[in-house]
Amino acid sequence: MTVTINDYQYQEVAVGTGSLPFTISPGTEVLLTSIFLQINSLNNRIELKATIGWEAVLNGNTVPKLLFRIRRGGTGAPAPVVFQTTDSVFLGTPQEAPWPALDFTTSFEHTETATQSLVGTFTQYALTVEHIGQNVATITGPVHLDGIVYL
Amino acid sequence: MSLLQLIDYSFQEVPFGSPALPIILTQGQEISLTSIFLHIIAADNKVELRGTVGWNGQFLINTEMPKLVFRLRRSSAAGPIVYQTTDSAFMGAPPDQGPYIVLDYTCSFVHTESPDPSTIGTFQQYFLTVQLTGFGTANIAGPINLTGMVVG
Repeated sequence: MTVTINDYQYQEVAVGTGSLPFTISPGTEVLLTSIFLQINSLNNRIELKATIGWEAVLNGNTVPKLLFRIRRGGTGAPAPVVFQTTDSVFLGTPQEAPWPALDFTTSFEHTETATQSLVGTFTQYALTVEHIGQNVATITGPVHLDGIVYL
Repeated sequence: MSLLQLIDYSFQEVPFGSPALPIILTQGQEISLTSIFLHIIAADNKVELRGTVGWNGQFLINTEMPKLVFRLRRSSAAGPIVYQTTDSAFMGAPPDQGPYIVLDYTCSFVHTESPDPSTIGTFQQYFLTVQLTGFGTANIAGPINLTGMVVG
């Protein structure tokens, strides 16, 4: 009994395209991209993979700390958060500035099992980012989100 | 040319905020984070394993430069190491450095292997482990994800 791939969808926003780059300050959750996956069995397993390029520059007290979320069924609250992870960096103390901008790539993977309410739907999965550190960071891109449904 | 098939697919995820988390790491001690089973049926199968782990640390008083060694081990939590990678971060040093806030990191990696002959025809267990080295302290904040697939 082998495993089959029932659906595969992706969105990729290349560096410098769409709304990229944009700066992000603490306090706002921003939609990066979203995909729709067709779920047709309670035995489906759903895999989501994301890669995000970002940068920050030491300017005063700057601590980029980016909280990435995957929400299901919508692009913001109250759509449930099915995955969240944070990436950050210590750039140095204010008196050590100025340095050039430093660039980072964050990637992660989330997997889940279908639930009854999802079966028979095209379910939206949204990738969002919220800055929970100090000062500003820049989402440079690329932004990549792909999803696979296995049976 | 024949098409490749997905012979097996398996995952475990410990979500952020799960009661098992955070895990406070002890210097030098290797602990198991999660494990999965994969069905391996032939010598020409390819086994792919992907891991994502969220971890954090905080500069308080002492130099904070934790290094986390992530390993994939086969058949038991102390079995042969089939993959190893290290993630680390500089969070500050005395006397006056540091933002003093908790810094969170996301580490992800991919490993692919051709199966060991002894594993053919078995459901093979793969373990994701972590060991803290370097200076200072660190926690596994979560999430923890280990996903595996067998192609052949």
